[in-house]
Amino acid sequence: MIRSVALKNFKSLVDFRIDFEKFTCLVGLNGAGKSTVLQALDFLGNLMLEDVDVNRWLTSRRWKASDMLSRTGGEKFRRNTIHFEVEMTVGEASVRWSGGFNCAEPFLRCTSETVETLDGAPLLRVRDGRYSLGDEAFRQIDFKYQGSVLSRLKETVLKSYPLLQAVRKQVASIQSLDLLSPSQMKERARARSQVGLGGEGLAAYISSFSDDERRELTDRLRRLYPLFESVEVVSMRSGWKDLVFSERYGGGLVSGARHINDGLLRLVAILAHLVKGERFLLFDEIENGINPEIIEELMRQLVEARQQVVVSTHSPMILNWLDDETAKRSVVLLYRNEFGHTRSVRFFDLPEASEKLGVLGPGEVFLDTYLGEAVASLESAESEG
Amino acid sequence: MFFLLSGEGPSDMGVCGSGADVCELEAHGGGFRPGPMALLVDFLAARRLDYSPKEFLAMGLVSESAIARRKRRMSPRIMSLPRSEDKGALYHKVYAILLGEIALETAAEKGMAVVPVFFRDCDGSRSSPADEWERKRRSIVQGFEQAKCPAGVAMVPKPKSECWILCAVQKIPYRDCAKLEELSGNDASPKRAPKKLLEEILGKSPDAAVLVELIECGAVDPERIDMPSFNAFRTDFDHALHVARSWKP
Repeated sequence: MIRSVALKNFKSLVDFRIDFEKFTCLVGLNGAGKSTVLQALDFLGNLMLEDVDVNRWLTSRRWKASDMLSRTGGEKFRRNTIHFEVEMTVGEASVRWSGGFNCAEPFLRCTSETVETLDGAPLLRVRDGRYSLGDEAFRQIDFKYQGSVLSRLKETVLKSYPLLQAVRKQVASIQSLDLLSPSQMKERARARSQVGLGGEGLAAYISSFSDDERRELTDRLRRLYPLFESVEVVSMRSGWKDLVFSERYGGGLVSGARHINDGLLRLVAILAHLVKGERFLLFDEIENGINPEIIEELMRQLVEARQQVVVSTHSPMILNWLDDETAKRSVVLLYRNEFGHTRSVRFFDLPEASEKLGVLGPGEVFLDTYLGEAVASLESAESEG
Repeated sequence: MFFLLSGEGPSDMGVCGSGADVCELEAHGGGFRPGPMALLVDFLAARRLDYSPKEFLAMGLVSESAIARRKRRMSPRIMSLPRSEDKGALYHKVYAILLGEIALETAAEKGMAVVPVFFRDCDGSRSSPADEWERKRRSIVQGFEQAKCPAGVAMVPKPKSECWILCAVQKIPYRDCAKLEELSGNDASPKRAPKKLLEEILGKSPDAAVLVELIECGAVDPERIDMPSFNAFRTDFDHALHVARSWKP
């Protein structure tokens, strides 16, 4: 489980830290940095992919490398390096992965990197073009790479370091679906193991499901849409896959993905990720296209998911379906300080919010709190303290 | 007539030693120990009814946790949305709705009129809007109306209950008390915190027991307190008693 992430110099995340629970819900005013946090997490996950290609990642977001750098960091951060620190639990161990990613076009890689246990035992150190595993001597990096050095080390090299393997797997499991777009989900796709940012490749992803996984997806969808019958994948020529939905209207209604409503398609994409894999899932504006009457069940499935889940939302109704204790732990308010830097605070750590919880539901408290003023008094208390 | 009090802690309406939704007075087998604001309610009621609700065991406390329990039984799908002019005071409105509902149920159980009194300080932190007192009071009134509870009373001092007590115990008692409403709602304010001023006058910390003793020995006459926030409470209280006299549950 990923416990916390700290970043310096990534867009508005100039000097930023956030803690994560098994389920975390990001809230905040427009422009506070909710999407930026999801993008940053997706960025970190991509650094660790086996076939990491930072240019491809930038292209998928239509960014240039320099777009990642902070424009509000001041002199101190007017450099090309994004600094990061990720703390996670791997089995019984607590581990930190930290480093600096050089955004200059010829590099696009972590020029420094450390993986260590929280009590300071080194697992991987990368410095000055060399790397060291555990207590072993430093050796030259004699391979080309983008992203993380750890992403490129062969299994044979890592066979004595199961913790490093687990860290790599855990970070690479970060998957963002922050740009879910029904038009992309409706497209036919060729076989792939992962759905894209916009949901592209959904049909091919579901085609990789076992019978049990497909049954679980159907069951999850039926809990939300009682008239839903099944979702099937049809194989076309040359390996193309297409989704076909059956609903229990009249004698049964069968529709292709292009004719299915956008909300159902979004739900299929969300729930398919709860069925398969041990991923760290990111969903931006989870409420988009979802009917209010099924939000309760959707929230239950997200809170109880096997996977670690982060959602962002503007909807008080989403928050109101959280029980008070979950809300206290899980709701994180993002805001910008006077310099435009994104900060995070657990929303119910604000006295203005916590004193109302109980009499008001979490979503009602959110509606009834002057976020700007609450944050201003928090910032001034912090600067006085 | 029964008085159902609620709001804040021991140095305001009092505390409940039991987990009951409606906490009866200790003398009635319950765990309710009235605080200074409950005694002011008792004092005003006794003048108007010719009996003390406290002496006649016609007073109970509803704790915030009892209100929260009742709220949790409601579906989260039933959400209250604050209008922009009430933002920040939705808590007060919802609280008053729930207290009003409990008052109606209590009236049906006891077969007598019930006057719910909801106390809340108007702390006035840096993040509060200038019209915080009006918003809170208005929201409480609207909450009781929404619950269709005819005799609800908002008891909202400006900024804090200590200002009402200060009015009675200051150097020249009951004079120019409206000025006390300009004191700070922040207990940490070195010179303008009502609690600190009260401590200077009394020579000891104004905790619940000290204030209760002060009121019980007759050092505070609520009929003589002339401050806009107290006058608003007293006017509402008079109106509630008028309504309650003709209310046959």
